[in-house]
Amino acid sequence: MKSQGEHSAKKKKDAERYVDIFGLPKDLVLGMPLLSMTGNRFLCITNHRGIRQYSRELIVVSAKTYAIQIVGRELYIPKYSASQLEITGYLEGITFVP
Amino acid sequence: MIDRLYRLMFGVLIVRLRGRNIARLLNLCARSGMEFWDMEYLDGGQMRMRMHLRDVYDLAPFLRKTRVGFAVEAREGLPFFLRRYRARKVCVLVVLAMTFAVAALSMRIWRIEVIGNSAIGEQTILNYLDEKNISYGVKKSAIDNDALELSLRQDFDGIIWASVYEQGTKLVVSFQEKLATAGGGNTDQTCMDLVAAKDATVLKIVTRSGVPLVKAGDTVKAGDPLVLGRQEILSDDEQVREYYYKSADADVIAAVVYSYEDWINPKVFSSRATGNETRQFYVSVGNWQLRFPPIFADYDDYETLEDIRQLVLMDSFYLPVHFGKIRQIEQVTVEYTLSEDEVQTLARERLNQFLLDLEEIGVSIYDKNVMIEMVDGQYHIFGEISAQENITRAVPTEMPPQAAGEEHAVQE
Repeated sequence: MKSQGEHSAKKKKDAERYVDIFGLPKDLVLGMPLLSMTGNRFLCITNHRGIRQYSRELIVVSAKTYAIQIVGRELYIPKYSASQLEITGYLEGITFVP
Repeated sequence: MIDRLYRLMFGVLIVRLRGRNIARLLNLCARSGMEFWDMEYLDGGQMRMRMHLRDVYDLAPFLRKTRVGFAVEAREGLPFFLRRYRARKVCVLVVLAMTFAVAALSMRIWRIEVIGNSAIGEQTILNYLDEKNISYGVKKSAIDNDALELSLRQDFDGIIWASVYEQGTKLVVSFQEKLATAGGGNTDQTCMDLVAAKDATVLKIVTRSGVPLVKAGDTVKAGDPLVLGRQEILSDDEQVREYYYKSADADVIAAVVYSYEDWINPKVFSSRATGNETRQFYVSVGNWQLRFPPIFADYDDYETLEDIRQLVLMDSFYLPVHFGKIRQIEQVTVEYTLSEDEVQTLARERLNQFLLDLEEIGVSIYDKNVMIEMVDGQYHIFGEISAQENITRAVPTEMPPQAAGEEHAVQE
């Protein structure tokens, strides 16, 4: 008999499969964050769940099921709202942390 | 840009947050619809950011919940500007009124410029435009540029091309005049003869068409025929069989004599400035005008000099405002007698002007014999100017009476 965690993991896999089959937008249907970058100077995250940590060298942003860790220098947030977060500065790395 | 203006219209606060749970505060505020921008991390775990003025009123419960310190560093935007200058309402109203006035004035024409005229005077064009109800103060929307260009070409024979356009509050009327053609340009089909315009002695004749009746050395009087446009075609028995007509075209250069006469009175009355003058400053807006100081010069004789200019913003934004200075300079009439040298200088100047005027109309001067004498207290300058010029004048050809059997043909 499957546990609740195994059951929800299977549901996620099925959902992703159906989204792929029908070509639906994942950020809208699955609530995935949408990242848009311009070089290493600008990053725009849509569909985020808030800021966990903020400093000049590290910003951690929450997504639905994981966190996005942005590392860099002179990081600055020109715009922050419930739907969109913009980060500028010298970005050195983006890591997805479960 | 538009976002920035929108935010400034409703007021923006620059705030500083301090505490451990700043991120939690931001998340709570974002979820309740608040927006932040220009977020900057400061030393000591503080943050500076901008937020809408209206969001501040909903911030208090979140601040208490997260125990974050809040301070306003600066205020920007229209609400704060209006409050700061709340005692300067008249100034703001005046600025607004001037803005609207300038905007309203920019819809009308306050200056008309005519370009390209030489034979047609500027005042003629301005009077013509006035008849078409286009003058100082007319609305730009009331002017049909294309129709005006067409009417200029139609109503003025000398205009071959016209352009009318607005430049700021200035109406520019630019046109090209027809160049004068040599020989008078007889365009109708009438056959013309050439006759002498004045008494002269023929020096040279160059005939391009027609029958010449004179040669070099002949003396002619005014009206004498020089070149005929009618050619006789003779038959074998030397009778006139028919006539061919073609306008005469020739240059008949002849020696002419111009009489010159001038009188100069050595006693001259001239106006000289005494050194006294009054100045007034002048301002006019439309038909209203002001002169300051409002004093009138009590001079018997004076000369008025006006230096008045129209107010223009940038290059072509003319306004119905004129300003300048008016000077009234007292004059006194002085009588003095010219010396002989001064009379000769004046006589020479007038003679030179006479000769220049002749040369402008194509007369070539080769000798002058002018003398000066005193007659009854006045200087009499007289003499003769020998010159050579083209003395032809076109007149319609005289048609002979048509006899039986003769044919007349007109050659184009």
